[in-house]
Amino acid sequence: MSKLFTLIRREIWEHPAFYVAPLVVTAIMVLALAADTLVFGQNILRPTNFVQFLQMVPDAARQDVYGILMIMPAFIPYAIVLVFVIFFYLMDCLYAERKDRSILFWKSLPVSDTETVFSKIATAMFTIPLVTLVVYLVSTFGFFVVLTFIVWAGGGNPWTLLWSAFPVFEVAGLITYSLLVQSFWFLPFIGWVALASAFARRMPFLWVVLVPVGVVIVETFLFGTREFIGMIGARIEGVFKLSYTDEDLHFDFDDMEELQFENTGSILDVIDPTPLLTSTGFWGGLVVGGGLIAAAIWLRRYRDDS
Amino acid sequence: MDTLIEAKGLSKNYGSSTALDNVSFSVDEGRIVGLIGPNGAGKTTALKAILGLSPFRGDLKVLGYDPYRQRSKLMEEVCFIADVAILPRWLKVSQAIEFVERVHPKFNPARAQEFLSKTEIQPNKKVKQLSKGMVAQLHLALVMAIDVRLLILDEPTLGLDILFRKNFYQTLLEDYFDENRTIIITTHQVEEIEHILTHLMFIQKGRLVLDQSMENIAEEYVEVLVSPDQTQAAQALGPIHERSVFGKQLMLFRGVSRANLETLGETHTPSVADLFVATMEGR
Repeated sequence: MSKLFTLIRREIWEHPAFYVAPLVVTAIMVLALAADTLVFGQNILRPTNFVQFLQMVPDAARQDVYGILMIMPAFIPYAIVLVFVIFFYLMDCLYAERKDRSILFWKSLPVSDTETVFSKIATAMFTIPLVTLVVYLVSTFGFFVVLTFIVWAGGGNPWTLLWSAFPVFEVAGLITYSLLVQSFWFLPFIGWVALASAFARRMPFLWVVLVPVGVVIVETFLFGTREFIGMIGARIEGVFKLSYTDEDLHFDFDDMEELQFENTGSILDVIDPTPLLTSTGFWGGLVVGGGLIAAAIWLRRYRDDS
Repeated sequence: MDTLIEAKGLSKNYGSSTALDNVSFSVDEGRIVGLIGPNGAGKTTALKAILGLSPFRGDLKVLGYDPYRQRSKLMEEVCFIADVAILPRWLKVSQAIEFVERVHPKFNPARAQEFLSKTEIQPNKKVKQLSKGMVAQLHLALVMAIDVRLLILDEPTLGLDILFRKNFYQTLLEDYFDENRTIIITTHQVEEIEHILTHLMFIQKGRLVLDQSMENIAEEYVEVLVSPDQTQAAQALGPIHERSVFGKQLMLFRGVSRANLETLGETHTPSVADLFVATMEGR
């Protein structure tokens, strides 16, 4: 286990983008807010306006409003960047070491190919999302600290208006849950990109993209059907339908306004993995993903082109 | 004395070309073996088979392991440097030490630090910030701090200047080698390692054409600078190679008694380089 942590740390050393990318998101959001207020003269963050705005929210709904309308949506840009970081990381993870021949150094150490590939898959599934989540939570906390001063300046009580309704554990819990189920649900994609990375002699990106495109074209040409693209589409949207009690709460912005004012209780109530865990798509995905990862391990071990 | 490597009928093809053709040899503990051959002769293929990096046909045991199936286990007791360029460019010196310490049970970080303190390498530098010579020093420092029985060096000093090369082999011999360790080296700069070798192997077109101890070589091979009037007598003894130097014939004999040859002219033990040329051209 400690070996696995060492291997994962190695991945973080090699890829500072794991934390630099979400930090850039934070920087851009801070700059955007500052520009909005200072340059374009938006008034929402001016102290008196801001306190008035916060006082409009009913106390009972305050936690849900903050959580669902302010804090959770702020994760969306981080999530988008996260997808790109994971994608480019996976594409590189078994390719770069062959390109610069450092694979011979890694292979000169008592670490098996299975351990190495597992550490890279674990990095994509858990490490990168976790680092993103931590940067996001720290940024959110910092943002609340700034808001505290604004509320003070506007004559409000920062405790009742802000901190008493800061659902940090609920938000962290819901995002952790979402990232976790998605990592498992998307294992076929993760395995495919890792396999392309282990396979490509050059330009793994082309393999990642062109092989599925080729399958779609061949299928359309031969059978006139669109099963494969349909499967990919179902895979992309499936997890969002299967892992929450009410998909709309999380994703439909219009309905969200109604829902949050009902003040139904904890944000965490939307978590419900039962439909996911009882779906064939989930377990089938694990099997397919596992097969692709096994193929990547096999290639790293048996390929002799260094 | 233990036999570390036992190879029987080792063969390997790349497509239609034969890289190793039914090679058999063994390497005992405490040897420093030079594996010498022209480009494409099969040296690297042989080393890769020993290190479990590529599949092969035939029988091969390294420290009792099947290298191809038990590579990660084998790597606890074997180290190799394949080429100076293979340390990843993004790795910091301190990270390299920390990583090896955590994955290698036989690594002694203090020893690596000690080697590095004798160089100009700084721990916070990345590999890409080091000169080629420093990268080789770093790799050597890592490897020498690992207490393994078998060390394999494939062109370890390629592209380094002569000062680094001398220093590299000197450090290896003085600070690392002892009777419990075994080293296999391939290089094109034969002259520089010949004095540290205990055994010599020549490989040509996938076949092992010479496999002897340096002592045996000194006994068996004699080079004679033949006096002009003795040329015919010398040729009658069947030299394996001859060439002319300043108008005299320089002949290489194998298995002819030295006393016999001394009557023909000036005798001495051939250098590995001369022996190599003679062996390669003689067939």
